Amino acid sequence: MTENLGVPTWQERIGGRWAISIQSYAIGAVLNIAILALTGGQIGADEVHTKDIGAWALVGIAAALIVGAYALAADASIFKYRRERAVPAWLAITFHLGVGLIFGLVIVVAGDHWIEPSTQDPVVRVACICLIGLWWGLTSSLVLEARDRFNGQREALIERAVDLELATISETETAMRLRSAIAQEAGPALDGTRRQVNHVLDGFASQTQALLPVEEWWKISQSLRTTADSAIRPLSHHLWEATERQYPRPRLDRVLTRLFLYQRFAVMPTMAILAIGYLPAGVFRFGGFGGFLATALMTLGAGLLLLVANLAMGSTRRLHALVFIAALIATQLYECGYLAALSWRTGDSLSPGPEIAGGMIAVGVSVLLPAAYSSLNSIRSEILERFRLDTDDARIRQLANARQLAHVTRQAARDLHGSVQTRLISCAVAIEQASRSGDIAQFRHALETSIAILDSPLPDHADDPSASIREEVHRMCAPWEGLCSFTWEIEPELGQIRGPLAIAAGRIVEEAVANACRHGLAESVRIQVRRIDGPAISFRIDDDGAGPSGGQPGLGTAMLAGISRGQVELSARPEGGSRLCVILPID
Amino acid sequence: MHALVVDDDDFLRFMLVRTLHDLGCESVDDSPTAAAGLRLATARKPDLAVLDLDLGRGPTGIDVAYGLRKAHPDVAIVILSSYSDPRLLGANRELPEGGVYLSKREVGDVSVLQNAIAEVLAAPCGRRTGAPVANISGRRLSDNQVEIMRLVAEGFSNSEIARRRHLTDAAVEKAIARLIKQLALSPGREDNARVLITQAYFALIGSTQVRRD
Repeated sequence: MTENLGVPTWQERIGGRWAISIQSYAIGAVLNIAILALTGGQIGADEVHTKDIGAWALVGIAAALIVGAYALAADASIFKYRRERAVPAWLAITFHLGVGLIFGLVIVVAGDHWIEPSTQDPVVRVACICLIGLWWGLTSSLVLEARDRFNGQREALIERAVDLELATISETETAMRLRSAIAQEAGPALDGTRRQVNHVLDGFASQTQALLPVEEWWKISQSLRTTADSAIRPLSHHLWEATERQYPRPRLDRVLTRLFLYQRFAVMPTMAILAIGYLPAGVFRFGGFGGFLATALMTLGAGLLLLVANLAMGSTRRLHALVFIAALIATQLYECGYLAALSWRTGDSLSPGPEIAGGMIAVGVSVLLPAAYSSLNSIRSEILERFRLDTDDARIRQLANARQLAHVTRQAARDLHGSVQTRLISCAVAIEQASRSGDIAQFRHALETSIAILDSPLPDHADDPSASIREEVHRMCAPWEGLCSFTWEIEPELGQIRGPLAIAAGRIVEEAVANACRHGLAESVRIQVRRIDGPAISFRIDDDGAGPSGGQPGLGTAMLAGISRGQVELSARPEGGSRLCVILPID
Repeated sequence: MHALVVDDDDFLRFMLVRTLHDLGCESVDDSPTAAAGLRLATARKPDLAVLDLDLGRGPTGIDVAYGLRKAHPDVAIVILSSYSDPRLLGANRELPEGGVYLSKREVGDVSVLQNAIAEVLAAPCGRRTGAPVANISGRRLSDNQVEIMRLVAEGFSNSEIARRRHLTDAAVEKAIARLIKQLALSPGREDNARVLITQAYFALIGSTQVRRD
């Protein structure tokens, strides 16, 4: 399954499902508004005055709203079918540049008119913001797409593992506990009626007590009808719990732990982002050439720092998280130093607090985001490999158990609903009929049946672990006799095997026979069970039905593939009908 | 008139035989399994068959009905079930032509069974509206939606459902989103869409109330 997912093209990564997303927009808008309010001097005005923070924040919000409207329009038009077919990369790039252009224009126009006219070249400012828009759009598309792909691969791995585990485990202690918990809770709901019915039955038994008058029989039938509905109530919260246990919510702390414990910095993307972000400030203070030079030096310094941190993380695995955090702080301090040096060199009367805070947010994002992207992107080679090891035993068993719990709950629902509820209603009907004709024998029969239901509402459905392969194969074919005739060829020593292999064999035959009779409308089925090299058991099921193209592809084929680890082949027989071959490994 | 009853529950079967006698059947054969029921039908052709949908492992009542029709094309068919819609059991096969589908809860009122029997005997293979279909606020759930609901309730993940239904993961994701919308369930911060769908499924088969707390 993992192998079939394939590696997406760049067009799919940039122009696919995640080309536009509400998460990317919301995070981008909040960060940009914060940075704009705190560092208007870098992308908005020449200097930031504390009194202008509110005004810049308002301009940021207005710009974000206009960008939002633009994104909504794009979502409904050019990106409408991106989930099915990725849009060309150039279109996605143009869209992200457009986001930067709108944001930049609003800032430049609104800032110059309402807050403070800037001496910077408006074209350079808008161009820089366009580049920031492009960077944010592409990075967030890549990160979100990688996250999505990772989740898909992870699920496929888990499922395959769980399928295999499920085919071999017998009922666990937890499943037995859940079954008895439901039975115990269903009990009290039935108690009142049980006492009432027992009382009447005692009257029959002792013959000393006066028999209940026929008019009173109706009351018992009514309380059976009420009990029928209340019997199923305790199931509700067990059902809820079992399903929730199976689908735990993803935890942010685990994502962060993974980032801090295993990931290194992405040096080149971080340097590119820092260069784009700081270029306008440099150009403003030192002019064209000086600005480029100062920005390049600052970027190189930051890159060097991250490179050293990466080397340190590579050499000391145990101190990974410590080095990661230290390098993050060092980069922030370095950036503060750079901003302070800029102010000192040009003698600006900056408000260093807000500007440095804004700069720190920008640096934090530019260092962490590429690292997160790299973290997700190294999944194929590193994380999935580690995940395979992590999930080998305990985790897989846990998931198989969860699936088994879902099965137990479902079975209990079926029992309480199908057996208890409807049977109690039919007891009520029987009593009502008996009361009309005054038939004491039927009244008593109905009472005895209802007490049997009330005493043990949940029958035991566990697979019989002592059955042999031969017995399981025959047991699965028996219900279909009359609709279909069967012939079996089972190697004698294979037929004697008991335990998980026999249960798996039973499931294979059950699924195959149901498909052949129900969808293929077969009238005769021949089952061969042989030992082959591997070692493995080969099942060949031939039928005279409509053939593989005649019926719909059996939904059970996926289950068969799970049990046999993918070795399933369904083909047409030359003489008509279909042939299903399944290989079940013995290990 | 000769009738055949197939139901795996002894008491329900006893009740049905008794009710059919009361409703005027001259003779009634009964069987707890599909195989024995079909054998009885071979020995003596029934005019009417009352079949339980869920017979446990193996064929469903609908499968048995098709088997009966092969041997006796004009037998009248009534299918009884605890499920309001046979698709909820995963028995994704249409009812045979002219068959009537009844909920066991409704059979608590004998006149409902009586009317159904009169209807199928009048025209055993006549055109009917077919089995009731699960609907939410009057909107019919599609086969795909019912099957996805059932698989979610059975504990399968998106990718697994996608493999079983021969769909893409994205298509399953979309179908689940549409289901949530159609079921008018709004997953809040604390809710899980799958838990809500499972609850709705069990509410549809009548096993629980949808928990909204």
